[in-house]
Amino acid sequence: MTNRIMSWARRQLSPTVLTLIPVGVALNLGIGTVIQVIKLPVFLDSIGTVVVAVLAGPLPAILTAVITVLLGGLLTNPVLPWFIGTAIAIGWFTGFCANRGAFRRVWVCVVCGIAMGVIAAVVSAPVVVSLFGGITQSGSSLVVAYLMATGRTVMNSVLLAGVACDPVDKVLTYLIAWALIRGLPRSLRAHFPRGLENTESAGAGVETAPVGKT
Amino acid sequence: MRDCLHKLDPRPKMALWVSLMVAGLVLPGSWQLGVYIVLMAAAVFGVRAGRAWLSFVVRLVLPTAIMLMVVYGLIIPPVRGGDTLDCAGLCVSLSGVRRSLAIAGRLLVIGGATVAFAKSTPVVEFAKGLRALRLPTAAVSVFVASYNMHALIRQRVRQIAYAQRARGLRSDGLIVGRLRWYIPMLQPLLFSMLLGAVERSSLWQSRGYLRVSDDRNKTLHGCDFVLLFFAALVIALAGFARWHV
Repeated sequence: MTNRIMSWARRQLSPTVLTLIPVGVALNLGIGTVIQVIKLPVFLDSIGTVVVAVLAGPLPAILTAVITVLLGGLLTNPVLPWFIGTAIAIGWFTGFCANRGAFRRVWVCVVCGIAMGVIAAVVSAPVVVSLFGGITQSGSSLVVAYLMATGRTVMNSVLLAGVACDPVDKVLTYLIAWALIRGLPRSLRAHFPRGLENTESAGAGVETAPVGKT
Repeated sequence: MRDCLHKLDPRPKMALWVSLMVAGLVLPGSWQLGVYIVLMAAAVFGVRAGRAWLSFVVRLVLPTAIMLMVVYGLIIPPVRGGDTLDCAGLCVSLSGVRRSLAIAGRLLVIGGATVAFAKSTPVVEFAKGLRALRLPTAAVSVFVASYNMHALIRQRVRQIAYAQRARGLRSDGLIVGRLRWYIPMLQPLLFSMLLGAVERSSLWQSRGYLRVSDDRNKTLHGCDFVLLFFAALVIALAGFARWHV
């Protein structure tokens, strides 16, 4: 059983995918610089994970997300490794949706982004409650404080606030990643295992002779 | 002391790091946590990671602690019969303030452990430690490559931002305008990075990737066992303080 899993993992992690993963990690960690430059009120810290998921599938996306939180914990934010569960959930779910064609149509992308936001909120709620007491430096803490003042428990307040606020960030992340990948040349996307399959609808790219010409 | 720590095997340092973080979570929020924080501060300054730790405290712990005290001390109604303090006409819940300080203390401990480990262990040594723990070589190589690329991407982002501004793209204005500026900045960045990834994969395959020299540290020395003993002691003391004191 272990050998089968290892051989499946080796098939998923070709040399092209292994060089793609650092690109995803660097995007995740480096996007913060861009956010500071243009002062957007969102995080957008998993764009690299989404790009890797679309181009290579769920397992490389999970590795990208895990390495991002570990490296981010060592380099920038020491509490980031505690959100490794959220990172794995984002990588797996995005790869799952991408393999089923979510990134071929923008409206499907939006629906999957909303679902991703809900999942991320549910998975990260226990960490936020146990580590931060429910209050972080994000804007959703105001919502949490209000809900707690109305008598709700910490966990319920964090869950409700997360479900309300996280989908916005995730939908934006999915849409930006969709726009970035659609802007790549087809020849470049073809280098990656799922680059064409996850971004083009069935039958796209098949060249037919123009009508009237031989 | 810092030079001695740099030379130690990364595996016992990783064990001590994990044990310090677990102990920080397990310890009850009272005088034990205070003692722990004082010892942590001494260790952090001993390995000369004080500046990074203070930066973490100012950036994350202090604002979080202030927000927690406002929420738990003032906004959330105190428990009936709980101790309160009348301060300038405001009813402050003392149990809420204590809880806030306990959470801030835990963040101090977790941050201190991670900062001390990061400052005393270069990434290359960390990678050697991961290989010695029998993690796949490909995964460790990807980790090191990610670290190297992170340093390069910041410079490249600035170059692209200057180039796009020189072409007339504006990054001020409403949020929609800023978002529209975001894509033309990220697109060339992603394009150049993916081209580099394709090129690197060709190089890897031509060199028969995964055939790296076996430089795992297989033996631990005396000081490494001392660190492992400290890691076990920290976990045991934290568990004793939590459940028996």
